Amino acid sequence: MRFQKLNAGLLPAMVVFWGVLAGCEKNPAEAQPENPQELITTVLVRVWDEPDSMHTHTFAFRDLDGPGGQPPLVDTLHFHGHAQSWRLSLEFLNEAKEPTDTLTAEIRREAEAHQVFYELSPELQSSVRIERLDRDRNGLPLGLQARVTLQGYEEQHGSLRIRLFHYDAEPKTEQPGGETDVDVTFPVHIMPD
Amino acid sequence: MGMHVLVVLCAGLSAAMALPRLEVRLSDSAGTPIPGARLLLEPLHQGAITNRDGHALFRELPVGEYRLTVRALGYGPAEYVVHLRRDTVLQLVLAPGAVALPEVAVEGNRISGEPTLSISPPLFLAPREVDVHRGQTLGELLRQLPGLSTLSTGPAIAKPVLRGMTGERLLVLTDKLPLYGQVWGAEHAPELDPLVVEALQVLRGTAAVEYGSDALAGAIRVIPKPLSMQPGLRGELRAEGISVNRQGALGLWFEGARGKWGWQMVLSARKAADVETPQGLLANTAFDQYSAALRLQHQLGVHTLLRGRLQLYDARLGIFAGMHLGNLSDLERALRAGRPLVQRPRSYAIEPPYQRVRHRLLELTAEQELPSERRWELVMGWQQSWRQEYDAHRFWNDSLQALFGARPAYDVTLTTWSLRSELEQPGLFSGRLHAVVDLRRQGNVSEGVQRFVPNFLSYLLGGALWQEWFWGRWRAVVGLRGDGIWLSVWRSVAQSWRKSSYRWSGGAAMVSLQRKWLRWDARAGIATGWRPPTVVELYANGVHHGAAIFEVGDSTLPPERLWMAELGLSAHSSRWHGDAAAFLYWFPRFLGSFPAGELILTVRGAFPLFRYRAVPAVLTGVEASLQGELLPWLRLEGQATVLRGWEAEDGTSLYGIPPAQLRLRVHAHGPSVSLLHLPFAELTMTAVAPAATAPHDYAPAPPGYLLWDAALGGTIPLGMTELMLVLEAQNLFNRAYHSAMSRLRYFAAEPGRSISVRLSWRW
Repeated sequence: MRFQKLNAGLLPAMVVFWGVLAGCEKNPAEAQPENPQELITTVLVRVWDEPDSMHTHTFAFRDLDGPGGQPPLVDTLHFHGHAQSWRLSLEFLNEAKEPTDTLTAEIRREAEAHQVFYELSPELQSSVRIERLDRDRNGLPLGLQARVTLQGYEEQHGSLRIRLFHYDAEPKTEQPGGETDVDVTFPVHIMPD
Repeated sequence: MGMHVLVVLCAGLSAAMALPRLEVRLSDSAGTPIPGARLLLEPLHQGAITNRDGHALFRELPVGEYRLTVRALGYGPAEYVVHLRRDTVLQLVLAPGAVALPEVAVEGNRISGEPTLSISPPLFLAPREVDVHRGQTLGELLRQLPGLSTLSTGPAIAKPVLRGMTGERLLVLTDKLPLYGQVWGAEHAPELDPLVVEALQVLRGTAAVEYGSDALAGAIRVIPKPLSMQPGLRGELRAEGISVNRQGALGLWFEGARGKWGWQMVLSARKAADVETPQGLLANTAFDQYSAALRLQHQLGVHTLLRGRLQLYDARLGIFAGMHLGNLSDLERALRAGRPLVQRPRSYAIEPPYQRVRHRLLELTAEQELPSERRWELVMGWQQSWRQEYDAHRFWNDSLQALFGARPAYDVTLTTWSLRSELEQPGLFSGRLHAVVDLRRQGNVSEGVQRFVPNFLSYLLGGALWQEWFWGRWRAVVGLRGDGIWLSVWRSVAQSWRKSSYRWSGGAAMVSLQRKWLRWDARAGIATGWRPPTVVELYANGVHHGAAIFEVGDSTLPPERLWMAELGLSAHSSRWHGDAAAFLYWFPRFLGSFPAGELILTVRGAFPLFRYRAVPAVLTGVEASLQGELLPWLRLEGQATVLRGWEAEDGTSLYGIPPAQLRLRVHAHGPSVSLLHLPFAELTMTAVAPAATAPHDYAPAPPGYLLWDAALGGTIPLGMTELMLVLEAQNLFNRAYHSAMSRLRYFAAEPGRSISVRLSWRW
């Protein structure tokens, strides 16, 4: 009898208990809209010789499906030995979006929190020099624009590492710091004239 | 407190070979039974609570001399020496007196000393030990026990680790209800403030038969203060100040009862600033945490108890600013620096990256004593764990920043409904038989800017049966369990919403044998269990920022299977107690993330690729503990653990195995001095060996280290109330050390010297 009494009290309590709480739960099966991802899928390197700026060559590091999936496609940077001085301009794009989103303008606008570094592989360090041309309001380099100077006329192979840092928690200095947003390495081929 | 030698009433003779039992009958001077009194039998450190008739029972006790402490609210504490030769009934009378400090917390009305379903006896951290060593997190508190360590991410986040296993293999329960949260994350700690912990019990080995696949490596039970149903209002205030992160914590506990209704309310609040290491402050490690719990209890008739509980938890936990990395180069730069790269003045401010955790729990329990010594219990639970992680990323695009900048990167809500029915009755031939049915429904919804964990819905149906037998000095336990799990996962793949379904089933079993002698007991057991892969193990696909690796899941992973064997030995005399356990875990299939030996190239650079796989693995170790009285006022405690884990195919060390550890403690307790009662002083030495370096690790494992801690305190009676004060110093010599079990170890040393002041005032 006591057992029946327990059940009689419990059953309505359970029904109320479950009913009230069921309303607090979201449905996992419900489809959710995709959130826009601000990926950098593409690093474009535009190169033209300084005396003759009519011909611009564009090289790309492209990872259209984002990290994982298909491996990125990486172009080799070619420099013709006939010109000793080249200009280089960087662009960062999200080509996974329609239309393509250009993130370069935002990076330029927040120049005080960003910096690009160029690192040549050891075999190129004696024959190639890279000088960053643009600066932020505090006089620290930004690096979206650079000058590449070739010294010598021999054929050479090597690589160029391009890194973009953003300085969030710590102030920007002349050294790499903060967090890496981009770290790509292009093979380099310097062709004799 | 006086020592009384009692005239003992003998009642009945035991069977020829069985160990004697001790029954205690407690009443006041008018003969009224005293229920809810706490009894502690030393040196066995066994506890019991008197039932409604004022009776309590200790079974299977070796013949010898014991000291029985009795504490009951409203009565003076009393101590008795008992010479036990045969089955004995003790009639005790208590005199009214000052409010006594409860020494033993035992759940509900169950008599302690009853068998639990584990090969080695459960580890128990008594309320007094909890009061002295209560730390900032549940994990820190558990480190007092052998075999337990923590996987920490700064001082606020500490996942308990038992014998090298954590997360989805280790279940944390509050009272009788498992705590369901996002256990799959290495940075996700139990949603509990240690201020609300009264005592802790740890089921080692495996708890897979009793609790299913969530407890493959064991279970940790957080025991709250029991509801005593004594009329009147009682309360306790707990306050703490911790210097290393300028932390203040406050806990309030109230309890009352009227007629057949009892209630209890617990509130806690905690706020901390950035933590200090010997090398400097760790930026953005501030945190705050609030919790509230309300419990109601109703005595429905003589044999039925109804209980309800509502528990809320809310925390914001800062994540060290230097650990969310862009890529491997950032990690290497941090390693080369040798000190935290991000520095800021000490602050209570919590900025991205940080975690916001909210947990709600509702529980209804019914317990009923049925005729023929049967007992039935029903536990229904509803829990919702909402975890958000805000990272420091800022969108370049202003419109995106306006739309999504304030949203968390990670936002998961896990809702769990659970129902457990347990029937206990006299078993086959003798002993007790338990039958359990478990039902569970768990749903997860991910709503962050990034969805690392897909939406899923799972159902579980499980049943278990276990029985213990006694023959003379032998005790045997056999348990069997079967579970079925149905899982549905929803993901967005190539712009379409796709569903995948899984179904797993498996069994768990345990057989254990124990033999008792006068001063020794030996035990041995084997067990098996399983667990299904988690959704993260199935579908991970991305950079793990804190570790600079790229993890890929495997949707074809089979369930994990474990076989284990354990041997143990205990020895006790009137002044010493020692225990040792040796164990071997064999996983024909161990699920984990292992290096794939290749790099994934991304626009942020190359990351080592880790794939989730099922590999055969072995885990083995030894735990030992010793406690004894060197002098009547001086106690020595020691514990040691050694653990080794490796992949069976190539002998590679498993990642995340805690290094060997030795802890020695000297505890002195003195006579009451003036106003100070039960004064004590303690000195603890912890020696940690160098960890084994896993081959894919970025830095060599940290070297070993030696740490010293000290504590002193006592109790001050204030009229009808009692004030307990504890002063504790951790890392007394401000040693700079890195812990292999800290996820910050690449970036920073562990916290330096910390002085804590703890106060509890009971009335």
